[in-house]
Amino acid sequence: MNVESFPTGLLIMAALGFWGAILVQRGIAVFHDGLRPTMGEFIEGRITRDELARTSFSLNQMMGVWMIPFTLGTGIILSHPLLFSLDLIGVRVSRGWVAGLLGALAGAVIFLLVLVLRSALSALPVNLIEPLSTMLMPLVYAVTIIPAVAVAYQFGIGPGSLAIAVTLIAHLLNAATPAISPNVLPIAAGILVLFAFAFRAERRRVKDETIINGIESKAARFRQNVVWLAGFGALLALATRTLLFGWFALDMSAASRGLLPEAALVALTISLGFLPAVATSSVMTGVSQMIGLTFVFPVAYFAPSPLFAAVAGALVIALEVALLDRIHIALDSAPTFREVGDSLRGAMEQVTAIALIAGAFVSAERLLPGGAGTLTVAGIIAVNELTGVRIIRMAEGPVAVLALGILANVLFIAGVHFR
Amino acid sequence: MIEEGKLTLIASGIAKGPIVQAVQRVGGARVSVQTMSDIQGAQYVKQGKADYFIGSCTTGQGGALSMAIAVLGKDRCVMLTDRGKMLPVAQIREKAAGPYLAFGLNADQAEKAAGALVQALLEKHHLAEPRK
Repeated sequence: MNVESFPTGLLIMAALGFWGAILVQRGIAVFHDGLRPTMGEFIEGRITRDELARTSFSLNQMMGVWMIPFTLGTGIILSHPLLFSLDLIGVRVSRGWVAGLLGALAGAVIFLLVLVLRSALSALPVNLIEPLSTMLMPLVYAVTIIPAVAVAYQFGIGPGSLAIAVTLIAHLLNAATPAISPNVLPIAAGILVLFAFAFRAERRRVKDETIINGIESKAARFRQNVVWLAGFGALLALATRTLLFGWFALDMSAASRGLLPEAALVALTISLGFLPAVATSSVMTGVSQMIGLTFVFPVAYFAPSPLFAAVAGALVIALEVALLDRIHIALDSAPTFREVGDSLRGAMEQVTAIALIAGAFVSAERLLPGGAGTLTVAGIIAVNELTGVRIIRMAEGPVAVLALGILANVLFIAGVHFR
Repeated sequence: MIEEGKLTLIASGIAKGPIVQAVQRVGGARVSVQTMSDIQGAQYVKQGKADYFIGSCTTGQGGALSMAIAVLGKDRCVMLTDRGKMLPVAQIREKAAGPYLAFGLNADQAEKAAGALVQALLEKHHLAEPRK
């Protein structure tokens, strides 16, 4: 099931929008990490709803726009366009039920837009959906190297080379064992190597400095709202397991090819990357990340059925709320593991950008064969890099493919046929 | 300065690598830089083991400094971004001259911004090479 599964999909997306917008309206959770401190001030009564709304408007929501090509390419709605919309709705509306209805409308509109755009774009003389899907192919394999790249980023080239070798061997073993789902072993092996090095470094760290951050935990607020949060967790997991919804291009590219165990491990890698930052800012502000500590995604992909996913999603969020203080304290006393989060996210952005650029070249050659596509894509990406990276690096490949797809259609209509 | 004639800097966050490269390219022997987690880096500055903390996050909208703000206080921290894009170099120089000990960057432009920041910090501490 994906966005083509009408009307079940429409209902699930509307429910997700309804519940999420109410979470924001009540100040329980927001999606944009830059909005959390301001929401924290709002719920403590230090700023008005007007000021809160102004701050939300001043934040950059472009990530939501950049994620659209992935959604069009796969029919899986990525988290950013929907959840950013729910932020914008929830901070403005002063009545909960109005926020809920607008959120449901946003979910439904996004669902229908994706449905209509996907059929329109695949009906063009030169199909635009297929190249966007092709573009994601290298990413399906490339994601497995992320933990090993993180090892190199944090511990140097030597340990990094070892981690890459281990990942490669695990990949070969995986490929030789049909009983194991593709691309699962290399990610698992990479994560193990990363944590082995982190444990070693943490043991060797000089512990003379006392680490005091002066943060007063506001986790009690999460416990008051655990039912609201867990309910949203159930919906998130349900939507993710039915392949209607995805977190990032990384997990979704595997999920869209039916590789759910891989998607689960990729999502777990991203979760580990975000955990320190999300745990800290949650405890500091008393405002939850809408997707919790994010473990709802790996659990949803691992779940044997959508119903199972929904139950597990609620349980995971409840467990995260219960353990939040402990996780936060553990991460503060082990700074090496906090840094692992940075390294994983740095590795993830680098690998995603590179794999998508590679994918863009593959798509370009199919769209305009014989070199015309390749030179255009190279031009678009190089110009963006040299003129201040107006398009974020992760979106360079997708934007180039979209632009080329439009060009290919214009050329086709003008009578220039490549195929 | 904790070491005479030399700035000691901490690079943190997802773009810690590019930040280190920019710091070394611009500062050469007049800087020493190391990578660290945000909590440890901010603590280093607070304890006087480092002069400045340079943090980074994907969107440049706060994550880079959330721990530094908790440790060093809001008045000592400043994001060198506007809506997730790096500030113009002139404004980076202004912020560097201010009372701040921790600076936040967005990952995509971290190398460029860190280079401008270090140049300005060197000038602030009269460590910059005379202009030719």
